[in-house]
Amino acid sequence: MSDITSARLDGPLSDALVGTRRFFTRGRVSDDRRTLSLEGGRSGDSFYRDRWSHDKVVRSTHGVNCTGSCSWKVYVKDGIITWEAQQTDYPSTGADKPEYEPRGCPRGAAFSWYTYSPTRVRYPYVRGTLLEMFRAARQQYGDPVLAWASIVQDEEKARAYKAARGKGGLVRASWEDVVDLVAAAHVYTVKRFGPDRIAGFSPIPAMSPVSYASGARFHELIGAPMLSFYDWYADLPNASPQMFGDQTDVPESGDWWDAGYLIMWGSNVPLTRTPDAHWMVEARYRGQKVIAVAPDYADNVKFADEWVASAPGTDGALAMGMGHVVMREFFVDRQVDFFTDYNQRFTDLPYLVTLDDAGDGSFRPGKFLVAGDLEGHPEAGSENAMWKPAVLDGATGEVAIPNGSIGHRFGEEGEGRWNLDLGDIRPVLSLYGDTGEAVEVALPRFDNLEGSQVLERRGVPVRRVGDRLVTTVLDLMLAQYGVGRDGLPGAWPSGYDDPSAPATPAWAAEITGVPVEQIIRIGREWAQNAIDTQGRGMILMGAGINHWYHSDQIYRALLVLTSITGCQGRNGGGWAHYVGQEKVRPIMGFQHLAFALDWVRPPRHMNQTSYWYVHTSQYRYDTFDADAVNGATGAFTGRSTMDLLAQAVRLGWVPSYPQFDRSSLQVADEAAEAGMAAGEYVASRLKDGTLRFAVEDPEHPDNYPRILSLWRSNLLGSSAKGNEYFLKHLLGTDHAVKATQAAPEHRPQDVAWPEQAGEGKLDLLLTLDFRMTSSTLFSDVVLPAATWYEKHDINTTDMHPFIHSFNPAIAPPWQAKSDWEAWKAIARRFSQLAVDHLGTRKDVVTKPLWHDTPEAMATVHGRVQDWRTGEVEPVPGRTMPVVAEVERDYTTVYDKMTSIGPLLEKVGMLTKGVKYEVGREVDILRRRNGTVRGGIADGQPRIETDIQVADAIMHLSGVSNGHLATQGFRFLEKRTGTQLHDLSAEHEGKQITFADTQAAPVPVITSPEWSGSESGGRRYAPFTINIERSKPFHTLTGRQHFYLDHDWVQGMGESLPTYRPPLNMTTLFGEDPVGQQSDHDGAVAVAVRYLTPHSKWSIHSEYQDNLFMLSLSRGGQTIWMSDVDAAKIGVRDNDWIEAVNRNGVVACRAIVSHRMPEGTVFMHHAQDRLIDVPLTETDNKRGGIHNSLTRILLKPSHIVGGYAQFSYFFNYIGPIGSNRDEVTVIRRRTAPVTY
Amino acid sequence: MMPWRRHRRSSPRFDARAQADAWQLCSLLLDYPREDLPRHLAALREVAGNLPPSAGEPLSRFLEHAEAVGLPELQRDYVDTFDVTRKCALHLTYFLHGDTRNRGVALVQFKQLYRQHGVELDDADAELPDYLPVVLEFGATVAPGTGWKVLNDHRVGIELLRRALDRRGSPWLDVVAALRATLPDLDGDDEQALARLIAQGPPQETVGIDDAPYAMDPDLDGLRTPPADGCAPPGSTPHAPQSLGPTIPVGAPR
Repeated sequence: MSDITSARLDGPLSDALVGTRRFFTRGRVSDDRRTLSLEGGRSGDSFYRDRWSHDKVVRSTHGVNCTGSCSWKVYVKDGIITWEAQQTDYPSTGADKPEYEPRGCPRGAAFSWYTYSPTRVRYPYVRGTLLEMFRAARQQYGDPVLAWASIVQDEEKARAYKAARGKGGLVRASWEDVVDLVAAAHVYTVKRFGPDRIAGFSPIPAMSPVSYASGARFHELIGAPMLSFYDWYADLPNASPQMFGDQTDVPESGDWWDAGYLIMWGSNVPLTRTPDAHWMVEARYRGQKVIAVAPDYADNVKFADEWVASAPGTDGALAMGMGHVVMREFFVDRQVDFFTDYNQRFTDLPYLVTLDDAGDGSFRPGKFLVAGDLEGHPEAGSENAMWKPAVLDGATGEVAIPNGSIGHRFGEEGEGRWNLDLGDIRPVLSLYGDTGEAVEVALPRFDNLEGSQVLERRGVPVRRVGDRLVTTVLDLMLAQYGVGRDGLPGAWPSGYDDPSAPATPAWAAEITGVPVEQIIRIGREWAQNAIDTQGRGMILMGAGINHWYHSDQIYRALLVLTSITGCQGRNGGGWAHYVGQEKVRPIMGFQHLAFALDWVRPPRHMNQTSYWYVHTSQYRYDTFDADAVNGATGAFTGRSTMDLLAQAVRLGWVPSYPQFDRSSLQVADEAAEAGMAAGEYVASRLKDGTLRFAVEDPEHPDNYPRILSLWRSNLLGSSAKGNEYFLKHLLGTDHAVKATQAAPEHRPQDVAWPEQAGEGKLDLLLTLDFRMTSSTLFSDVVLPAATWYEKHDINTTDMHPFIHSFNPAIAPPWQAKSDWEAWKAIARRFSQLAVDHLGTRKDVVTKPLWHDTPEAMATVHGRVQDWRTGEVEPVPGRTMPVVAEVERDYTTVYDKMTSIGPLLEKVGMLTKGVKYEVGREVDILRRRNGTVRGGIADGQPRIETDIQVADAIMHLSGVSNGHLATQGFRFLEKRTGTQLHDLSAEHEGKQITFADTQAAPVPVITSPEWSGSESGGRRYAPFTINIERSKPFHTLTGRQHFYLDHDWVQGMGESLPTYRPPLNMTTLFGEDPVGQQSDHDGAVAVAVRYLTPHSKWSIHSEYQDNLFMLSLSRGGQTIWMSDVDAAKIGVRDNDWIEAVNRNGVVACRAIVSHRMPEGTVFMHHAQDRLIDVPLTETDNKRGGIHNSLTRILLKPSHIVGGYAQFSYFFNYIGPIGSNRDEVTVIRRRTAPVTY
Repeated sequence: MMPWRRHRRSSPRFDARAQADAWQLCSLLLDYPREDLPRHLAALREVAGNLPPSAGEPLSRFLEHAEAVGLPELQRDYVDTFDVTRKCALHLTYFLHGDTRNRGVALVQFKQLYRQHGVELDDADAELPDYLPVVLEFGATVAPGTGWKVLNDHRVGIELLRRALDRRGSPWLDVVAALRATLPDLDGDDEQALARLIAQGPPQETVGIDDAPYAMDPDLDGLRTPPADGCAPPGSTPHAPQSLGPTIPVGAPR
């Protein structure tokens, strides 16, 4: 569009006005004029004729949160996207299975609507108030950085634009102006506060890794942390690292077909896994038995042979009841070779655990017995002896040290011994009948209303090893599950029908509401199926059982079923968790490029849950100590969760940014001035107290996060647990928080507590999106992003084994740009402004102790020792975070972003402990992409375009480059001493290029990046390499862990899987107990359990604004409730209701359905407040989103680190933003509905 | 919803010059207010002053408003009105074709219409071909006759836009009023016919939808008994059983 200044309005006025044409240029006329529009007659025909007269069909797919990863055909005519249809060219799964094609669902089929939607973000926007101030200041100071400084340093100005957030008033601006403002803000913040005060958030890279990498690479290059997503979404199952030492490795959906017995547990497959559900249906024709566990009559229930209707949040008890049956009938009453063999090699059941005398005649389960504990044992003095747990060898009757533990994984002596071969050792699973000696152990149970610990005494057989009393994990498990054996002391349930004690079927039935007979039957069938099919029993796990505060315990109880029966590591067997992460199959190339590990290491990775727990000040509303919320075990009496977090940070367990109470650049300068190395300087200053962690004083303005960028993300319309706290403390605008802050006795001791918590901490909220969301409306700057039909990228998923591509059907319309181009523009301007303001600086980076590295051997026996209390010295990388000094040339950020740095060749690549030499690969990329001439990246391969980035990601990953896969396996072989490289040999010469993915979806190559084998066209199932090739799990013992012995976990009573009921919100926060009716401003209100499951009509907030989906669903926000609850408060279907608790308010319509159980309501996840949300009756402000009623509660066992599988890595382990334990009061709305 | 066919063959109300001026002025003013708008306000006011009063007066009123509030305020208001809501969409096919697959094809038809008249829509920062300012400019500067037809075809959209602006009390209501003044008057039963079309709403896929719009079976309402504690739903007389509409016969031969 030309500018209207070109219009000469000074001549004859109307002539001139006609000359103001902005939209048209003279163009060619098509000779045939064959698309003349028709009038009258059979004009209706034209639609059908035109429909197939498209110019081109482009392959693309749908990104970010959609896990389906379906390939689509996008039809384009005359530069306009007209519609999409499913691709049908997936490679075949073989002759004896159904096919993947076609895949797709109504959501995907509706996507092209977004391209021309009226609420598309078409131009860059800035809040008018801010833009005016910035322009004025820029004029005044002549420098954008000074201009930005003048605004944010002026309290009045800052308050003016922050308080306007979410209240409209955006104006369009040019890309140039906006990039200038954004870059200036970043430069200023790095200069004034340090790079660790900036953060970026973009989720689920699998679905578009190039777009993820765009901003991530920029952030990591300047030293700003990237925030995790998996734990934050509460999708991350902590049970996975706890048990497997691996995060979410699960079968592709084609492997459901291989199962003989399939339980869908809290996973509504037809609804949330639409393109994959056919596998479940088809497998039934093959004789598979299908069970659905769901509290409501969910969509998947009608496909199942049995419906197990367990009460919400009680799934752990249900699984324990089944486990009781399995252990009673298949481990005690008789033994099954298949189970015995499996558990001897692949689980920790035979490992010896020390029992500690409690002094009251009972014992407590203690630490694993390790080689270093065994005086006189040949292994006692071996390398890493404290990291080699022991078993009792049935062949010799002596204690033995099997290969494969973490102690063998690192160090010279372990070379060739990190494997699961037992040699001559025959580990005994139980000591029953060994010496005849037995003692009582006190085991915790929490199955009461408060969820508080009660101890139960049950006997276990023991043996004496030196002066220690030991038993096996299986013996403890049997005691925990109440499976008695003759002659053992203690109180035992009398049988399956005894409801008095865990974990009999009758006990589980009382808690869950599931009939005893059904629990027994399914438990029995589950085990028998495993025997009959050699482990082909599978559990699909979904968000329904995963988003709870104690979800790790629920999951552990379920995983007992899959692991103890030998189903894990089998095709058609094991856990199948499909919530959230979705597999970035080319993980190695992705990680190294997205986090700029080719230029600078280590990266700053942050777990987002604790980030917001701290920075939205939600910790200040914890009106209880950490002991009260975790079962009153006495482990954390008098300490707040915030204290525990501060400790976990200073011990190097978890990341925490901002790092220190001053800029990380300043710390580097100070160290240099003191003439000390960074690590030494930081350790000494922390010890004498002159340097403190920022997390110990988060309300100090120097420790605020200052800039947050969101792309591919709708934080404030979707994932922000405690949404209203974000609005209040982070953004400083209107909110609906009514909660009270902690009284003095509940406040943290190690963390400063100023009377006033910060409000409006953030200086700049930047969002890149293609549609208007809550996040864009609260943002200071909004940039128009290309949609998924307008850019190049690649796409992978857990659900199928293919890589396929995004391709632009049209160029981004209006002023939209792809994420990659947008961040390049910001990086370029940032680099220019950095010349005057930043130059080259040293940056001190703290990093937690990492998983899959020797740092994971920091805490012997999981015994917590704190340097702050003088128990140990602060030693970086051992008793505190790793401290690294890196150099950042801020003027070359753009050059680095668009080229592959030298570290890949110099240092190599490292993923999950496997090292790769990639000189050859980088050379190939030099030839393929061309090299940079001159400057800091001289001679390095270019990655200027999105295709080049995609190609580099795939070329630097084993799954898409057979040469690297084979190299990785050979590296592993040296450590394991077993053969592995043949797994990828069939594809050693294969390189998947971007062009390949444009032609058709391409199957990936078996690679050490993942644990399953696809060799010979097998369906992917996790851990098949571990089971078939004796490769250890990445845990303490190298086996799957039922038993956990870290101090904190033990203190919380969670050494073994245990049932923990949902949190009691009445005790903790004074909310009404579920079911209670009350008078609420004259209306009857009822308290209900508030659940937020995934929706059929949207993928998070995406598609929820799509009118196709709105018309398929009810449209606007809704809450599903039972007819019984509705009758209590006089609500009929489609009435307006309000849900209120201390965290916020939701105003929406009720869907009344007998499908819902009494006492439970569903508000489907992420119904954005943009769609049909009225002003509330409660406070006359706009109603909130589903997360307005939730808030963050941090579980201490999730922030344990530095201990074997309990060690940090990005999206591997971390506190989850759980949101299922919440309750709310609901009432009918009486006031008229206004907007 | 169908295109509005009633006025296709009617004649313009203004002379050619006045119509072109009015449309181009509306086109300018319905587009985003740019940085240089204030400099040209005086000239634009003069153009408006020369128009027939039915269009000139509301346009002058709007221009006065624009001058009074100043550019930043006008820009903010514009974005809040047109960029973040659907109701005030300026894309004509959005009203006519709603969210059906026909919309893409309709956009293509616009594009081809322009091409037939020898012009191409500029690609740089391109607007969609059905963007009202684009259509108005086409009518003002390229093909008044075709513009006339297109605008009349989309009269329902223009009326919906007017209503939405009216409900917001938006200053842009004046601009749309001026545009309407160039189009045929709605008289006789036109208003009812329009209302009927509007009430129909945008076309929707109807396969599989029976009479009842929601999943809940209204028959069940009558079966629900009030709770024992006496807090009966206010005004809850049970629905009389009603037809559930055609259902798919189970087991019927196809």
